[in-house]
Amino acid sequence: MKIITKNLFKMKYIKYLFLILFTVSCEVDLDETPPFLDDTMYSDPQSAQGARDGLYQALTTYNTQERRIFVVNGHSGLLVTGKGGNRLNSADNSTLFKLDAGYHGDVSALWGGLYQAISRTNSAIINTPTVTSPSTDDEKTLNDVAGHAYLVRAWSYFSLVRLWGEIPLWLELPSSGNTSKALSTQAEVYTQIVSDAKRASELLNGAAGTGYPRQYAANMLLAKVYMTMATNSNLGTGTWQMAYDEAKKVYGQYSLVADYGSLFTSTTENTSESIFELQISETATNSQMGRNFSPWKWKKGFHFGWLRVNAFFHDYHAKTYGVEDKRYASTYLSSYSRADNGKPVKVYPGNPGRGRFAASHPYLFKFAEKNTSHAAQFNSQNIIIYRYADLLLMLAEISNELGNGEAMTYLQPVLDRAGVTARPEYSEGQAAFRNAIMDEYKFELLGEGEDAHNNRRRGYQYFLDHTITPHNSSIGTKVWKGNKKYAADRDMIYETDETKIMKLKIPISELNTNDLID
Amino acid sequence: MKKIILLFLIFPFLNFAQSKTITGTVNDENSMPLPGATIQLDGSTTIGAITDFDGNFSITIPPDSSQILIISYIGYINEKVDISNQTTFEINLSPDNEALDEVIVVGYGTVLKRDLTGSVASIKLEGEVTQTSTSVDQLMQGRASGVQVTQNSSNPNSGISVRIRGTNSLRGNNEPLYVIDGVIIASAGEDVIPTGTGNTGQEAQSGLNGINPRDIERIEVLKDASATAIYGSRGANGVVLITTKSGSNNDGKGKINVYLNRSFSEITNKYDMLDGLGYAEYRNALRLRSGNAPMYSINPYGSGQVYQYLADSNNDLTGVLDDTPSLILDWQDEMYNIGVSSNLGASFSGGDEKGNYYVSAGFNDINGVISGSNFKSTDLRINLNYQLNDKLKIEGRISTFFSTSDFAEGGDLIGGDQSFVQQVMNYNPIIGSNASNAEEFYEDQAVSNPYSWIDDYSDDSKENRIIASLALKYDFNVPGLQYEFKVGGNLRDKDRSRFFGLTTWQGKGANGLLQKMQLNALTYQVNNFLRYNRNINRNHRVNATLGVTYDVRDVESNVYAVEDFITAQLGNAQPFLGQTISRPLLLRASDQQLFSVLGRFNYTFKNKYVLTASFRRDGVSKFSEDNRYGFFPSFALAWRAGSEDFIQNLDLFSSLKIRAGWGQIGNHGIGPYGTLSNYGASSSLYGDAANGTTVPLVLNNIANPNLTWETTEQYNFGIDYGFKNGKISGNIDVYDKTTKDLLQQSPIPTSSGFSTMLINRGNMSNKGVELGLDVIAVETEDFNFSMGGNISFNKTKIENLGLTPGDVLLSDGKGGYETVQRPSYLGNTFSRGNSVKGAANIFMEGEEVGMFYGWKTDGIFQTGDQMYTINGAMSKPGDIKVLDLNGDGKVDLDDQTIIGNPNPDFVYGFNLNMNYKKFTLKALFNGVSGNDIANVNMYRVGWIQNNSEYRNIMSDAWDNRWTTSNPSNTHPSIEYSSLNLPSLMDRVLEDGSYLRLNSLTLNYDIDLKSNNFIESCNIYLQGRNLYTWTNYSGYDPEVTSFLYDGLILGHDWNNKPNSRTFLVGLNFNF
Repeated sequence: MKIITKNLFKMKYIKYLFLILFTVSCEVDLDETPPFLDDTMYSDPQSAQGARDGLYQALTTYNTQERRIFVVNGHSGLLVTGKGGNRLNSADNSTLFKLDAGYHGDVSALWGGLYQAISRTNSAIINTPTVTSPSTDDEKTLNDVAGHAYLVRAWSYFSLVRLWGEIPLWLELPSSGNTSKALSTQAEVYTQIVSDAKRASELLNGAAGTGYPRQYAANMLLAKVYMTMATNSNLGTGTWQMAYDEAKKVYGQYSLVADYGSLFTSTTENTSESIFELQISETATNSQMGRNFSPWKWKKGFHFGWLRVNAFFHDYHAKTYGVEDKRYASTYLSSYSRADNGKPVKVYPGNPGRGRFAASHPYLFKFAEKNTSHAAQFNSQNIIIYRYADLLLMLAEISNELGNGEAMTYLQPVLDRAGVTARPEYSEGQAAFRNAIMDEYKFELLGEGEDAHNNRRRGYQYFLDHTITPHNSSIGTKVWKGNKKYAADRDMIYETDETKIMKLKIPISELNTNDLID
Repeated sequence: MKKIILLFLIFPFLNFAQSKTITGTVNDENSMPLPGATIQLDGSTTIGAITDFDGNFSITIPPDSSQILIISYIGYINEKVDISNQTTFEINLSPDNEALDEVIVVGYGTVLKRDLTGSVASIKLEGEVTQTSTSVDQLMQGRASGVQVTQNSSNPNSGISVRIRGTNSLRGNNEPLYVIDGVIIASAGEDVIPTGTGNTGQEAQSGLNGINPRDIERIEVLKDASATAIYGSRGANGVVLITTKSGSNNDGKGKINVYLNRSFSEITNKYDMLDGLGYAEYRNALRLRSGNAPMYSINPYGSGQVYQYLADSNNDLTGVLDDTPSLILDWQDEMYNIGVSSNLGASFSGGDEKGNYYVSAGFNDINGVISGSNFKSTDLRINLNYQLNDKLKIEGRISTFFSTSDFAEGGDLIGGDQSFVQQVMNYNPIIGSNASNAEEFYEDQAVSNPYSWIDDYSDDSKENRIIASLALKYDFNVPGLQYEFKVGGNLRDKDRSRFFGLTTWQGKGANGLLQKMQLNALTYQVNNFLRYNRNINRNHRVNATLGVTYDVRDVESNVYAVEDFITAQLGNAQPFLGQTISRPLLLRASDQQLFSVLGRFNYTFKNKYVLTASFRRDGVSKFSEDNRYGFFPSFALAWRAGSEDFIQNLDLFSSLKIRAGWGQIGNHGIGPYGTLSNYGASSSLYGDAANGTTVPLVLNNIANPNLTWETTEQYNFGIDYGFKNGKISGNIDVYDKTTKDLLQQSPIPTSSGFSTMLINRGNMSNKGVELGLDVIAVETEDFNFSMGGNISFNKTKIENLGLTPGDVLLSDGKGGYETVQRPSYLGNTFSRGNSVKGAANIFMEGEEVGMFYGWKTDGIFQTGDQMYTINGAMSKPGDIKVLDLNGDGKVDLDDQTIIGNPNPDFVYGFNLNMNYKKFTLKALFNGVSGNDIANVNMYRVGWIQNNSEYRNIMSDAWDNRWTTSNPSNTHPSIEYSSLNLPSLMDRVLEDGSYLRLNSLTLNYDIDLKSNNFIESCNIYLQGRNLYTWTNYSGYDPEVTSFLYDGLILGHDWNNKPNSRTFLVGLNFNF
């Protein structure tokens, strides 16, 4: 061994050589310089606006938009689907649409989508600097961005808590060692929603301009929250009066558009009626609603016709107000010409034969691409989350509960636009009014996203008595148009088990990964 | 010494009769003098001499002693010389080729095979093996113990997986490190990033393209830590060292080799699906069940045909029969044909004492079993070695590779009509005579047929690759001391573009969809080595390496997708024709740098005792500064017991070596930037009020600044042995390795807003035994027969997960089940659709990796059975009988238990080689035993699908369905639905064991007249994948689905059919 060492170090220059090598190498820079931003993007007014759009983009992902619309409509007890084949026993009709979703894939994806939006809001809320009295444009911009984050967080949690009940309440970003969160009670979630919505109403200042919600959206959300609490004391303190106060802040800030149908086109968007609207654009490729929900052969491009209104509810609407209701033609489609060859297509009631399931229910027309020669799968029709007609109905409902005599003041403009006269029930006392206004939400807002919530808002028994039982017990009775009857092989029989229909199941993927949920 | 010799020469007469002096010279095989050779009197330990610098010696032997001298020199065969009748002689020793000359390539250097202390499998390759293989992994399959290769041989460009000594980590990519002529090629699992648009799921392609098997001289697989530790944080999954060919220095005359071959492939087996008549019956029955009129008239007028009822424009059946019968197709026959491939190439090599060269070129044109599936490649290689002067040697290597491929055969990997493989299996076999009318029946789904994938879909990849290195070696004046400077790198450009035309499901939706993906990867290393390699004297041999290396990997990927084409006529040729950009050009950099200091010291004492110690200190850019540096040492000892007299005296072993080693290796096999929060562009845009776009900024990941290496510690104990003069030889290795701080892309609750996070968590171990045996059974001039085999047993165990224990139901070993507390988590779900909603693999402390977890079943519910709810729905006769294991009167998530094991008990391979005169016959078998495969395709075709009634199913599922009159216990009734079940049912688990005749080659050397310009010539016939012995019912038990997803193991989901190939080849040497 000595020989080796001696020989090696006799050669001094080798030592130098290595010295050089090591010196050179110690200067090797191993720091990463990736091409992305850091959390300062929230304090830079320009990039903060990009972060704001990230919040709304989270609401237009496939999971939180298409799937949300599909899930909340399937969960409403008012619709059926042609997805996966026009059959009652198709994958979706036999689960989600039957009010027994189980571990449904779209439900699971919606959960992930809403929570993704929440994590973006958490990041924005933590990092965006706000001031109490903004004076400069930059301060206004940053306050407004934070306000959007609070609004989106409140709205997302409100959606989650109504669909799933007890849920994990994340207000920070996960980190190593903090990835699981136990379930919070509904009351805890509602408390957070109230707090977030209030903060949003303070911070939002309109700096974002057209196409973005203003503080009134937060007031409207808060009104909805209080209305929900008003009939369920488990959720915390919320009264009809509190709901009234919030809703009144919105009242008069918007106005109904004259043409109900114009709410569902891509040509008239962000109207005076719009309170909270998601911006959809074909070039942004952020919506396939037109692909998913345009009726069969309605337009030129590939499309699926996934949403149909069950014949029973359609008939109820038609019998209540008649097809003269100006909302009717924009809500249902049952008779049209094929876009490919011009031949007629008729489903119920256009074709009263009800020969098979596919022909037994009208299509929901609101989300259909209105341009029948449209060939792409992405389209431009915006999604309205809150609109003024909803607020007016809310005020009518609240007023009825408060007995303040203002109910018709708010309701009448909505009915007037629809071109219908008030149902007799509206003048038959508080209870009758209540049932009628709960119907009115369906007629006015069918498919737009609130049905599943509205129908359940007054509890299981109300849902059963006013949505499920009337439908289920119609089997064997005659349909509105034609000689056919509602039939068990054409019409769904909804599940009635409270444990199945009131809340969705927490997704398997969450159960499998969350240590703090059994 | 010289003086003494002189003395003896001057006074010869002083030697009386008593003693005798012998003089002589010892030379090497080239008659060059061998200084330091030992001359020993046989039977004496005291009388001997050593040759001087000129190879001369002199020895005086006492009277009446032995008359035999033993001449020995390290690396040469001992010679015995009888001196009874001579006093002087000259002898040339022959080199001991058997052991000594064999040099094994190890990390950053070479060692003599006899000095090897670690576990290294050497694969020596012969002509036709390399000429008929299209990829490196094929060369390793079945040829080395401890190596499990999973590939799809019907598809030359599909992803491959190589596992050395089991699964080392819980990340997806457990691929070994590939090093070609000293250049690291870290790309085994590297591919372009999918664009993620348009409901497509892209098939992984091989990241090892560009290494032409034909140019490979040998492959060394480094398995244990003492062998791999010098690769530090890169060697944890084992290292595959590939050495390419060089020219020979000896002949001035160049060698030319030309070969060509042609092969024919066909699929090996099919799923037995319902034929047209059976399908029509099935379909009508489903329709009837949904209250719809029958769609087909089956066999009317005894025609043996199916006629379809026509529909009106409103899609209502008219009750009018089509006047011509429907066309009936067997889609598997229709789509899978014979693929014809060609392969040709040439090499030129030669050299003289100053240097040598090896130049080669090759061309492959491989056609798959689906028309349009094709892989073409051209490659060139130049290897040059040149001695610039006494001290300086230069070595250059450059290889280039250009390939194009179209339509890798799997098509898309997600389910239903979005998957080619699945569509071929379950597409409606009846085509109405009015085909467009027939399509209408699918209504909203608007299914494309399998032909769309051939006519209207392309998946084109272009790959250009250059691998090059340049080394300068300088010999110092100190004997054995050498400095090497080496730079080497790998430039890889890949373009992949996929176009979905208007008749494909995806293209129809998008009105033409083009996805473009690019990968630009440059990796290079700058190495400095100082080596000392010398026999100090007869007792000491030292082989040491010290090095500094800087390893850089710059990778840029980009994705782009465009759709809504104004015309689809140009296919993927012109993205400009797409009117909607569904994925704006997105760049993703992923750069990493690694700076390392390394060393190895190999010391051999008396040719019997060998010590190896190595270390490496790595610094890697992926971790934050506190965790950036890791130190990875190893030690190993070997005892060449066969050289001990007492072993030699046993006259049993011709060689025997006992090895023991220990080492630690790191692993940082994750992408870069994991410690940083990535705030940046979202992958999708947001709209604005004018129907324009805005770019949203979002947080894309959860940073984990605490990330650090996972560390594998490994013990290895091995024996190399030989009997009967080396005719029987083999090795046994036993190892135990433990990996700590497992780096994982861990699934986290989606309520956190993210679905995965990189963390270090948990420990796992692999224990195993590897056996190798080679036997030369017959060795005569005309007939030779030899065989070899290897078998590897490996057991993986999750030692610790770092999670809190939860309730799991496990077998109590007495036929019952009990709830116990174990930490565990579940893997990923194979399907986004409705087949199974839960994951099927569980990672549980104390168990092997990824055990199948789900529900146990027991046939079918019969009338009179006790019914209970399954997933909330009451069971009924004819349903699959899921067992209520916990006895609570219902089946839910709490009834899940371990139902199978995707890990094999052992993998093995063996070969038989026979040679009779000019004929050679070689057979290679490989096999896997004891693993389960979840054939989840069964959720689509294995039983009746009453909720998706247009899909075909297997004949068994229909013919043996449960009905009241046929109370089958194998297949459920038409009323059954397995939709959205949260758990995998064990009825889809099958034994995945197989034994495969991997290749059978017959070679004939053609007699050539001596004056021929062609020196030699041979012709060979080869069958590849000729037969597989297995009970597995799917296409192929060598399952390749989810190769790089460490959280889905052993699933067959749209796995491609395998193919059998017949090949004829010709080989010429000039």
